[in-house]
Amino acid sequence: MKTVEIYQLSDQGEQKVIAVCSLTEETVLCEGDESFVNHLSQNGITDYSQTPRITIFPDAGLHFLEQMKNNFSSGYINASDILDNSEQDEKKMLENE
Amino acid sequence: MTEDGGELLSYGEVVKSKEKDNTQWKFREEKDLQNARFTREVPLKGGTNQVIVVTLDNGGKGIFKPVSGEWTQREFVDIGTYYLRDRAAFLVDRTLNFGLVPTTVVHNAEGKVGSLQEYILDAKMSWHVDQGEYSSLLHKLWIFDQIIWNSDRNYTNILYKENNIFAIDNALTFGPDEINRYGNYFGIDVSEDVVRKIASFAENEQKQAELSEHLLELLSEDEVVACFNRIKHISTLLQSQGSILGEEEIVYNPM
Repeated sequence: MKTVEIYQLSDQGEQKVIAVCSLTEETVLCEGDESFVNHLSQNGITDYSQTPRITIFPDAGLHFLEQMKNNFSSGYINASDILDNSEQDEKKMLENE
Repeated sequence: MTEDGGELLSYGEVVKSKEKDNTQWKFREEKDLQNARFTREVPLKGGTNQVIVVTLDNGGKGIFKPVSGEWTQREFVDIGTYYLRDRAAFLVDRTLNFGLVPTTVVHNAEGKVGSLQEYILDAKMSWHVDQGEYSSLLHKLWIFDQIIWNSDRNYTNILYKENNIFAIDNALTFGPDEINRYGNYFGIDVSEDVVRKIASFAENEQKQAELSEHLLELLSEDEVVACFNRIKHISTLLQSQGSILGEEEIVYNPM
């Protein structure tokens, strides 16, 4: 499964994962800090690949995940690269069988 | 008088450095940042360019963005210039006396050059506040972003703290890139305070000459000229009609 982790910086200078956004079929589902997740689904993010810029929402699927890093890069709040956990997911499935 | 013989300044007031480095203005609050040494560096995960949280020997913290960690290319803003733009945005902010950008300097940490910005402790993000309470400040920021031609402003690079907002992440600015046309303040009157501050700069040739001299060490001449033309254009609009009426009035270089 493709996921993006969102890190927020604490006053101690340490990063904490506040949400994880995952691609499920054609949309992105985010779990974690409720106010952040709600804000993200209501306000979307900027699509920097478009001219003029537009706002995209989780239903943009993979493209939404791809654009997260461009939006969350201030240091105070950062998004990871897209993490592909497909192999781990498969291993887990095999272990469970 | 301060220890180095400079004048003791009020907030936002400017003097030229009497130190060997005459390339930067010296605001009282930026000297500590510029002279500080790093005692701890923690590179952060994620994001498009490298960001390092640094602990300073004066006990403070900063956000350091080394030029060597500028990785993401924009069409009209070259890699290797982002840290200079961060600094330039701070200088414009302080000269206009807007008070939006945390103190930002160009810092050379044992050969590692980059922008160093004051760390805002106890800051809140937009999803933790009622943005309606900050509408006047957000409107001022929107005007500021037109002036510095910010192609990157979004709700993740605005911090909120104690009835103030802080504009961080100002590196993708000044170049003729696609401006990020966020928000919709068209036709909404700008506060008199903001109108007055912009007019005060637009009508003061000495202030313009001083800012120009220092921006030219950070940006290209075309970028500085375009920025000044935008300030004058926006000042004219705000004085005559109170607001910016539509997108067609937002132009990279209006002269």
